[in-house]
Amino acid sequence: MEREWNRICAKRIRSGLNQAGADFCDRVEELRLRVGQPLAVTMENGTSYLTAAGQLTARWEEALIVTETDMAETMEYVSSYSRYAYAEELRQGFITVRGGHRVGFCGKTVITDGKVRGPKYIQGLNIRVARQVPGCADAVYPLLYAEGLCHVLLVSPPGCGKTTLLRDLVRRLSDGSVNHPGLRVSLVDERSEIAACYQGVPQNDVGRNTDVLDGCPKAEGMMLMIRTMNPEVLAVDEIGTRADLNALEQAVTCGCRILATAHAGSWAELCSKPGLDRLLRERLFRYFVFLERTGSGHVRWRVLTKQGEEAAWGWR
Amino acid sequence: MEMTMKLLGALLVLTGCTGTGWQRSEALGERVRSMEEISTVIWKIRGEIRVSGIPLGHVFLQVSDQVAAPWADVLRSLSRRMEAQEGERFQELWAAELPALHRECYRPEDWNCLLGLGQSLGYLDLTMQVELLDGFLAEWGRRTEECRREKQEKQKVCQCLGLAAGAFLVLLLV
Repeated sequence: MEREWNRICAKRIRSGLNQAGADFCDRVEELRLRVGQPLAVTMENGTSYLTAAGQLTARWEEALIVTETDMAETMEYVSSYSRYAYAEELRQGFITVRGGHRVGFCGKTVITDGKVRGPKYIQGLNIRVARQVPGCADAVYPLLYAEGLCHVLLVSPPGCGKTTLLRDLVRRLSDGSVNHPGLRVSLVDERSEIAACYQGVPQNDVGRNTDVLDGCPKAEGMMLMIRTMNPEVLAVDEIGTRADLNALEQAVTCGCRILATAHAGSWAELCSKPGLDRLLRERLFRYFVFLERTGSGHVRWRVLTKQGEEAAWGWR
Repeated sequence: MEMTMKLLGALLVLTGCTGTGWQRSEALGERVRSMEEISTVIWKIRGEIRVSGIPLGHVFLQVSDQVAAPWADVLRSLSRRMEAQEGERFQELWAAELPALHRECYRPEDWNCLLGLGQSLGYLDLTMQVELLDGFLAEWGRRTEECRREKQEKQKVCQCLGLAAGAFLVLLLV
């Protein structure tokens, strides 16, 4: 069965992917198209090339070579035959397609009045296959909300899964459980990474009671959601700017609980971040969940209290 | 009896020729109406694109609710096929669906102009897309105006010629 991300590829490439089979498609993490270069596939064990017959190979000479026509055809499908409708996404360098998959592109950049207007001569595409991990918050959720709703900050360096964890926490809070009713969650998804909205519809499961504001700057988005959607929980990814933090403080005064993420590798690094240190001194967040990736690729999580004391830890 | 048959024959010849003339004049009117209908549909498509900026498939679906068959059916079919993304480029989809709209009254150059629109829909930015549609509508408006003039000039001539030809044949044969 064709995946959504197969269907946005040019016919030649789609044919190769279909011949590769369902098992192959289930393991693909990224597909890279570069004009004049072999079609590259990234899976859990690294990057290989794909032949026209759908075979994986380490030899680029045997691989399917991406042509200009393939690229133009793929862009046509990615943009739903309507590039004019994706001007903002083109300016940002990626489009989210049905299924929540993200297509990033690169080429010659058009600059107008000093601002990036978008790409022309698109020569490279990166299709990142979306995979949700439902249940990844199961171990952490009971610890964080055992004593009721509180403000929680998820912290890690890039690539440790804090966005994935945020997504699942949002889903858990929104859907509720036998013992806890579902909550009204407002999600400000500035970079369309959490809900991965396609034409306004979340492609990831973020819960039955979640309202998503897609593509809106965080500070503005938080205020908008508070004014219009009356959230019990406000979820936002990667806070850090002064505007984000000011908006957070205002949100707190409105009575909703905050679930946010921030970049940092340690408690010390978090404390040294300008702006965030103020929130830490004011003890805004009750819990901090630190994520770190070990050498073996596993992710270790630690829950710290607002005093910086470790309350629990585990593995994902 | 013979006279009756002759009268009947004359009536049939006269009716046939007049009818042919009338049909030709109606075809001219039909061409104008069809050209105007296309203008209306493209105007609506242009309006949706300019105001909402939504992808073409959705534009076609919205406009299909505002127009009559066969355009409504064609637009819905286009929208469905664009949503399905079965490996066909827009130009191919446009060329495959448009024949359902073809009528005898269209001239080849008019039809080619409409088919050519499929090459330029969708791939430009919003401003250029709207300008392109404006350009098409201006050209189509010019063709429609030509049709109207032709209709005005030729409609009466066709009707009269039909009648006259009928009368001539009756005189010749009877």
